[in-house]
Amino acid sequence: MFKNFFPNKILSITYTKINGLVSLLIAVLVVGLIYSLIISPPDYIQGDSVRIMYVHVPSSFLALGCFGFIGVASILNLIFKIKFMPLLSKSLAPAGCIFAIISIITGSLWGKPTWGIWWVWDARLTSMLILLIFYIAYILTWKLVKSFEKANKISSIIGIVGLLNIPVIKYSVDWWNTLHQPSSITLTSAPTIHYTMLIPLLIMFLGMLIYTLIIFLMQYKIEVIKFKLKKKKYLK
Amino acid sequence: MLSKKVKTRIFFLSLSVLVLIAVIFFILKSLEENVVYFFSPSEIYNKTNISFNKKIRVGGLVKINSINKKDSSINFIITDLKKEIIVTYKGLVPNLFSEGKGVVAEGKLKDRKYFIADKILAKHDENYMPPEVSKALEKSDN
Amino acid sequence: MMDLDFFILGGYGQFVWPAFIFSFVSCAFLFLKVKRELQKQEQKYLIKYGEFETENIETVEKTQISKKVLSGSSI
Repeated sequence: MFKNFFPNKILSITYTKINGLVSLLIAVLVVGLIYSLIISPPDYIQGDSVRIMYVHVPSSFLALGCFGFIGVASILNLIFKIKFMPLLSKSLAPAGCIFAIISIITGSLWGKPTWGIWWVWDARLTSMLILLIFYIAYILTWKLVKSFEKANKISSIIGIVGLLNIPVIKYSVDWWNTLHQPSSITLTSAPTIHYTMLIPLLIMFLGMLIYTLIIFLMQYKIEVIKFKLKKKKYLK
Repeated sequence: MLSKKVKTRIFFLSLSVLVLIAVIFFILKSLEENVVYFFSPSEIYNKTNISFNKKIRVGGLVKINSINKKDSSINFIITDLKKEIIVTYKGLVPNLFSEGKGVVAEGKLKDRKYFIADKILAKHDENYMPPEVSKALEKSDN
Repeated sequence: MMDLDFFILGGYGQFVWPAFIFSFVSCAFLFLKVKRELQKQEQKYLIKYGEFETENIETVEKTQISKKVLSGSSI
């Protein structure tokens, strides 16, 4: 399993494989969109605005998840100095960043009709914005710092500090009074979403997961190629 | 078996992460007043350093049968099922504002029981269901 | 004719549609951007090395990586 992430393996990922994933993604998305926009019922309080949840919740979850991986990889990277670790975590950043942006934008499009306001500085929304800033800082470090070793160190530190923010985001709704509602899906108890609404949510989540995988694979291949082009001594 | 080099790295990394967690914890603790988005009526009641000319937010449930509309102003009671605060407000309320549902009011306290709001936000909970299910639930409750 | 309710969504259409369209457009944008970059880098790689000799690279890489892993820990 772990071996599949070795840089040599990624070079054998061809367009046929990626295109296969893209077709799968399109199929899942079509079903997901039909469910979330047509089949699923409106909410008893929020009416049809609840449909925004089907893009908001999966993208928020994946934004957190991707940074979680980046953070853990950063720790392993600083401790064991495995060469391909930075390439791996670097490749997760673009998808995670775009999901953080989607989460915030769709969140405010959901907040306006339900709460009556686009944005508030409550703990959940603020910590989510901080996550986006960490993503941007992480990506910019790799872009702007020319030396690989230096960029690797700085970005790993950003990854680890940002990792500490993840539980703050997750539990902000429980630790403090927030305008944002608490989590509907938790590990410990049954979801508080009716199953007719849970189905589209899970399908959309699956779709976004496949999308993340596609972007990750392509980006990882880019990083490996770039790395090999720069340091040809690793090749021969 | 881990080499000495790796062990020192683990040691220093965990040490700095622990220090960082402690720092963040104390910062958040000292800023608690600002981190919480609103106070409940009970918190207002028990608050020692209360200020009447600073903007604050009060949140809780809109008490059933407490909404009183006249002309352009609206009065209602925010409750946390222990303590209550009377709120008065001029202007439009969000669609989701209704009796028995969550609300956050922004404005100034006149005294511990009376609040003049200049902004009303609706707060919804984490339960999502179709209208038919909610009706069926209500029926089975009665 | 399409049902107009589908677009109005009980008055919430003006929020729901932008949310879905924004998500879709930004995902598509990132996908195209990454795909273009990948094609560019692959072109560069092919010019330099001719082809993706994964087998050849693999053996070299494996020794390289195991050396890297081992250098960090003493087994």
